[in-house]
Amino acid sequence: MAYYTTSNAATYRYWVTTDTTASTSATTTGIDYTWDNWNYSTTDTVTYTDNTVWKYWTSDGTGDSFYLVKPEKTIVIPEVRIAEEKTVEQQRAEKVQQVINRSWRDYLIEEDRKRKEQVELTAQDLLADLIDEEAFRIYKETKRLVVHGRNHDYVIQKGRGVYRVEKGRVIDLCIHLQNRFKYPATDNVIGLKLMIDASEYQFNRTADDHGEVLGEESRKDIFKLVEDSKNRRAIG
Amino acid sequence: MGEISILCTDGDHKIIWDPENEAEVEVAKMSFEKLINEEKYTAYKVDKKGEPAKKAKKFNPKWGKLIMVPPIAGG
Repeated sequence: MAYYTTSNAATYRYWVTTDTTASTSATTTGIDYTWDNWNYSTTDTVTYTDNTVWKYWTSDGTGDSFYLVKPEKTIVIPEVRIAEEKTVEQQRAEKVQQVINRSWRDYLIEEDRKRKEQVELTAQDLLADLIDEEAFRIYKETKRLVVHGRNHDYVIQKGRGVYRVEKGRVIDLCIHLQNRFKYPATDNVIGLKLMIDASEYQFNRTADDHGEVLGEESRKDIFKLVEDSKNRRAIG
Repeated sequence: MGEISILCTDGDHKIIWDPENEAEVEVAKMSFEKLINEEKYTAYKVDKKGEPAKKAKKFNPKWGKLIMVPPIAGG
């Protein structure tokens, strides 16, 4: 035997069994029980006892049905259980919406790229005010800025770390603006250059020292970059 | 004229003041102190192009150009 009661009298129109038909409650000793014309709402619940639960949802266009199978205590019908077939018009609208979404996303990415480019140019203008024209030209070309400290020379790399150039050695340092990715890359270069200028000792204390990491060729490049800069200063 | 360039996510933000204009000087001074005390920025005084910068701990309206740098960290 099984029986049911519902939280919403409008939910079930027909309880179809071999024994009885009812609207909001029923008791039956039958084996196969079906509701016809299910007026669905996700908030409707059903409480029942015994061996009663719905396994299949069907929709044939004339009415929806649930078929009884094994029991659970309480069922809350989830919304996803209604699997309506999309009409051709709905499918077309969905595709149009996807195209619009893609275009909008591309537009936002492009706007962000333009903004970052503009912000980087603003930062470069500020750097150009601080260093001589040749140093700025080299920075734009190589993305490296040579800074001569009181004790050592430094090569600040745009978007990367810093090299401290000692006698015969190139030390890799990790130091940067906090939250550096929020700032244009050249702002990071400016901040580090100013710190070396004014507080070289503090700069070296703050930096993480990764030791010598460069190969022979790369070391030579760094030495040459620093040497060229020193020569330019001597002439200028 | 004095100028503070504040490094920020928009590249840099500038505050310009006329040393003779008390209101402008006050705005520049307040901004300077707020950035140093609350945002932990460091101020650098920059003079001639190519010359090393110097740290500026107190605001002086007669200074020409300052750059405010957000905190720097290692690692």
